[in-house]
Amino acid sequence: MKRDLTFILCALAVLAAAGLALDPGGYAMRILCLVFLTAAMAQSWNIMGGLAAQISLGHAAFFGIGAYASTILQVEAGLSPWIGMWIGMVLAVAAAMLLALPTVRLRGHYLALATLAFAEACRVIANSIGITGGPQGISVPYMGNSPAMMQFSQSGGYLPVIGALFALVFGLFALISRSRLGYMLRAIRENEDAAELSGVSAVRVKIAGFAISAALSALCGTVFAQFMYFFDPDSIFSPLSISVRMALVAIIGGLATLSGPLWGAVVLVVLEETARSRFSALPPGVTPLLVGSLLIATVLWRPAGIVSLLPAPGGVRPGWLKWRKRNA
Amino acid sequence: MPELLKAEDLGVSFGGLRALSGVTFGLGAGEIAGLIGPNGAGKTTLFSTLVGLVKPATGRVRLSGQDMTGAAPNRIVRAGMTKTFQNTALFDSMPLIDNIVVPGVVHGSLAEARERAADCLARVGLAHRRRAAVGDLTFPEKALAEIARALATRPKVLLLDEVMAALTPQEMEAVIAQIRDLRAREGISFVIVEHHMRAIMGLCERILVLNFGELIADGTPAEVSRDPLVLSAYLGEDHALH
Amino acid sequence: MLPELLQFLQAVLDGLLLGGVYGVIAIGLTLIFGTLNVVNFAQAEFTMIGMYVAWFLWHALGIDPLLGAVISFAAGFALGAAVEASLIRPVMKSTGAAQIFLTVGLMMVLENGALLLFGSDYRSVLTPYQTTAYRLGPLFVSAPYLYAFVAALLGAGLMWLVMMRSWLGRAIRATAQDRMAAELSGINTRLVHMAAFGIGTGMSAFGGGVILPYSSVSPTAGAQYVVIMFLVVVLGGLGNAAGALAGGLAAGVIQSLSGLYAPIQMQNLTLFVLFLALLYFRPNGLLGGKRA
Repeated sequence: MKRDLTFILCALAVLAAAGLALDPGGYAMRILCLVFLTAAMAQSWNIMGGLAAQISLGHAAFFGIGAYASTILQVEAGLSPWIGMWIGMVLAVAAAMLLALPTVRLRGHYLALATLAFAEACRVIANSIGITGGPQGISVPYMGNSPAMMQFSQSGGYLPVIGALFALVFGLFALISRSRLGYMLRAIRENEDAAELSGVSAVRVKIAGFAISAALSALCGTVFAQFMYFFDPDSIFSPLSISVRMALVAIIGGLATLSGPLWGAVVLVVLEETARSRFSALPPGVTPLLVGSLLIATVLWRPAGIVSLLPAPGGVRPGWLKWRKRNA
Repeated sequence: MPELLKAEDLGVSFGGLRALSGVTFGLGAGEIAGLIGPNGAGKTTLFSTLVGLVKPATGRVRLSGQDMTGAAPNRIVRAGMTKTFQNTALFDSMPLIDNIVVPGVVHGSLAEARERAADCLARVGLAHRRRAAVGDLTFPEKALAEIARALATRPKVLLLDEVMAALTPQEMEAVIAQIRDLRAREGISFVIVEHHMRAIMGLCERILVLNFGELIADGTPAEVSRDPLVLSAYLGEDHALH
Repeated sequence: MLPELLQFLQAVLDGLLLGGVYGVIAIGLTLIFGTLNVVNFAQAEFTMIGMYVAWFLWHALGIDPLLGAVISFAAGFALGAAVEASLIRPVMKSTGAAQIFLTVGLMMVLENGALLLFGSDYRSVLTPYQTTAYRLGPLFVSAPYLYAFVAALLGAGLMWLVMMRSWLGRAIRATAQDRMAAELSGINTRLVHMAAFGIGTGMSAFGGGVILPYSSVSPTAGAQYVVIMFLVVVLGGLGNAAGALAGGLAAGVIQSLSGLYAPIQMQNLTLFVLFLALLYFRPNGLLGGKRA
C-alpha cells in the first residue's frame, strides 16, 4: 500500500513540476495532458481486463457515453460538465448492466466479441440519431476560460483536472487491487470454477468490477470531450483508437499492475506524437503499424510488459498472459 | 442421525452419454465416507454435481435440508459444502497464502481472512511455504494447499478428490490424522475419493461404490469388500480390494 | 403479385446472394477456431488482402477477379501458414487473452501495412458483367452478386471435399477432435495446425477475391467485415463449417431485409443486437456448436 501511494504521489509531483515548468499553451503541455489522460483510460480498463482477465474490446462504449452525456447536457441544457459527468457515469453503469446481462456468463473470446459488438452498436446509434449531431459530430459550446464549465483556453488549464482524474483512477485501482474485491477478481482470472468453489460469486464480482470500470471510463470520456472540444461517433466509439487502445496501453505497460498503464501511456503517446511532429513526412500507417508490432512483441516476449524491464523493489508479479490455459 | 447431505436420484448425461444415473445416498454430520469405483465410474462427476459445477438432468441435492439443486456453486459453498480438484486448480499467479485468503474474503474482512488462511495452512503443514509461488510447489504440496483452501470456506461437508494420490506414506498418515481431527473438533463430514484402498478402508467407516454411473454398494468396508457386485466391478482392475 | 411481397422476395434473394459470400469468408474463421481453438481477430484482414491480390492481377494482367480469387486463396494460405508458424504457435499454450491481443496486434499490422504499401485509395475493377442483371420471373438477379455467390459455393464445396475425402482433411479433423490422440497416431499436428490456419485464411482471402467485382478495396475493407464475420460464425456455432455457411446466408438475408424496413445506417444495428441476443440465448450457435 505504501509503495502504491509513493508511486501515485511521485507521478503527481512530476505532473505538477512539469506543469509549472512548461508553457501552458505549448505543445509539450498538450502531450503531458494526453499521457496522463491515456493512462487513466487504460487503468479504467485494467480493473476488469487486468485484474480479472475479463477482456473487453468495447470500452469505447462507456467512454463515449461519458463524452456524449456531458456534452449533450451542456449543449441542450447548459449544464456544467462537472454535473454532466455524474450523469455520464450513471448511464455508463446502466449500459454496463445491460451488457452484463447477456455477457456475464460468457468466457474468454465470447466476452471480447460481445463487447466489441456492443460498442459498434453504440457507434451506429450515435451516427443515426439527431441529438448526438450524427456523423457530423458534436462540439463543446465555447465558453472561453471557464473553470466552472470545465473549460480552459490553454492545455495547461486542464492539467489539474487530468491530474485529479489520474489520482482518482489510480488510487481506486490500488485500493481495489488490495481489497477483498481485488482478491476475488484475481481468483476469477486464475480459475473461475475454483473461485466459485471458494465461495466467490463470479457473476456478482464481475458485475461489480464492470460497473466500476465503466463508470471510470465514462469519467475519462467527459474529460476527453472537454479537452478535445470536438468529437464524432466514429472517433469516440472507435474499436481501434479507443477500445483496443485502452487495452493495449495497459498490456504494453504491464497488465494488472498499478504503474503499467502510466508507462504504457508514456511510451505510446510519445511514440505517436514524435512520429506526428518530427517525422511528418512519414506516410500514414507507420505509427499504428509500429504500435501493432509493439503489441505483438509484448505478448510474445514480454508478457509482463514494460514494468518487468524496470528495477522493482520486491520484484514484480509475473505477467499472467503467458500462463498456460486450462482445459484447452 | 439427521442427514446433512442428501442426494436423491441424481442423473447426469454428457451429450447422450449417461455419466450418472439414479444416485441416491445420505451423509450424516461427522461421517467419513469413501467413494470408490473403477476409472470412469463417475466419481469426479458426482462430486462436481454435488457442488453445482455440473447441473444434474434428474434428481435433487439437499444440504442441511435446503434444496440446492441447480444452485450456483458459490451458494452451495456458502451453505457449507465444497470440494478439492483432482488435478489441483490453484490460483497460479498468486502466492500460496493469497490462494487460501480468497475463501475468507467472501465472508469477512481481509485481516480475518488472512488469519484464517494462516491457520488453515498450518493445519496441513504448509505454514513454512506461505510466500511460495504456486508454480514452485511440489504436487503433494499443491494437494495439501487444495485441502487448506477448502477448509478456509468453513465447510460442513468436504469432498476430497484424490488428494492423497502423490503423498508419501508419512504424509498420508498426517492427512488422515488431520481428517480425523477435523471431524472430532469441528464435526466436518467427509466424502473421500482415493485409489489407495488400504488408506480408505482404514479411514472410512462407510464405503460407497460407483460403477458405470450407478451406486452399486453402500456399507461398511467389511460389507463392501465381500459384496459380489463390487468384486465383479473391480475384476480386471489393477488394484484389488484389500 | 403484390409489390410489397415482390420487394420482400427480392430482398431475400439479394440477401442470400450476399450471404453466401459471408459464409465463405467466415468458414475460414470457424475452421481455425475448430482446429486450433484460437479466435483470429485478424481474419477479416485476409479478406482485404485477397481483394488486393485479385485487384493487382486484374490491373496488371487483366485476369477476372473470379479467377484471380484462386491466387488470392494461395496468397492467403501462404501468409496465414507463415503467421501460424511464427506468431500463433508460440501462444498456443498461453491464456486466451494473449491470443486475443496477438491477433488484434496482427490486425493493426496488416491493415496499416496495406495502408503503407497501397495508400488509402479505393480501388475497384471493371468487368463486362458489372451492370448485367438476369430476370428470374418478376425478380432481378445481379450478375456480379450471382457469380460471387456461385464461386463462394464452389469454394466452400471444394473445401468440404478436401476436409472429407483427403488425407489432410482427415488429419485436420482428427487434430481438431483430440490433438494428443492425433499426435499419437502419427499425425504431425504442428504441420496440420499450419495447414488448417493457412486454409482458413486462404478461404477468407478467396472470399475477398470473388466480391471484388461488386465492391472496392482499401486498407479498411477488412474492418467492415469483422463484426459480420463473427456474427456469422456465432450464428452457426464457432467451429462448425456447415453452420458458418448457413449462418452466412441467414446474416445476408437479415441484413438485406432490415434494409427494407430500417434506415440504411441502422442495418448493421440489427445485426449487432441480434449478435448480442444470440450470445445470450444460444452461445453455441443456432445449430449447436462443439463447445461452449
